[in-house]
Amino acid sequence: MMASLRFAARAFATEGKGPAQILARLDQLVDLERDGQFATVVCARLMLETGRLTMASAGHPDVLIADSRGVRFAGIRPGPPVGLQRRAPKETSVTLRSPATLLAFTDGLFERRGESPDVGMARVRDAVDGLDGPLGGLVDALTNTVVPPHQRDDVAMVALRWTASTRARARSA
Amino acid sequence: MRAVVPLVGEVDVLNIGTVRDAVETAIGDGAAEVVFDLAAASFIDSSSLALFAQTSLRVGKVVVRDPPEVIRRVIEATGLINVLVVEP
Repeated sequence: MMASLRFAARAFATEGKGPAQILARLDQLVDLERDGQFATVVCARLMLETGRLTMASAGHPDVLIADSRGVRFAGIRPGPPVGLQRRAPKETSVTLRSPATLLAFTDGLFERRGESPDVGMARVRDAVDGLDGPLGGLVDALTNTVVPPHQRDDVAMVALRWTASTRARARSA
Repeated sequence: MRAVVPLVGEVDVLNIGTVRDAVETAIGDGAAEVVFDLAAASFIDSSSLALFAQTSLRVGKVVVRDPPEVIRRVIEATGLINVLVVEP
């Protein structure tokens, strides 16, 4: 199901739909009653010239942002997971400062039995606080330091670094 | 009619079957509201959350009663708070 939702989200994005609209469309593709499962999805659109980032979440963990303002969660208010045929969740927007790093991940990265998700999310944020440099290294370091040994759940991460384009910088100069 | 379904101890994908059976019985008996009583639950995984959500599509109201704080936060963080009623 994960793969088909990813391809569908990509298709809806090429139609110019925003994050909340994309989640609403995905919600129509999954039926918890019929399929017996739901999916959490976070969807974000970044305007490359301005750094304006718009996000929406269907029950998915928040997105971590690191830029000159510090390392913090985006504060997306999640709607229910896709598959419940509900209204589209609200969008949250922030403007990044160049250069900025974004990190999205599944709950497999931080979830531990009997522990509040807040504690696990804070562990991820603190680990990112102490890391810099290439994105590959960031993902590897998180995998090594945050994921507990003998982890049973799978982990998916997306790391992205944005720097203002030369054209945008020239215009603002 | 309101049916109460208790979850006891650690409930995960391996033993969710008995809870699922209790829900089927309740719905078969015509329950319009299902209350999952988590007062004696120490841990649930996503299979329970899926069952709660699934049940919410089949009956008028689904209540999650007395969840441990950790489970309450998971219900909020996954946005399921939009489709479930958490008491108190």
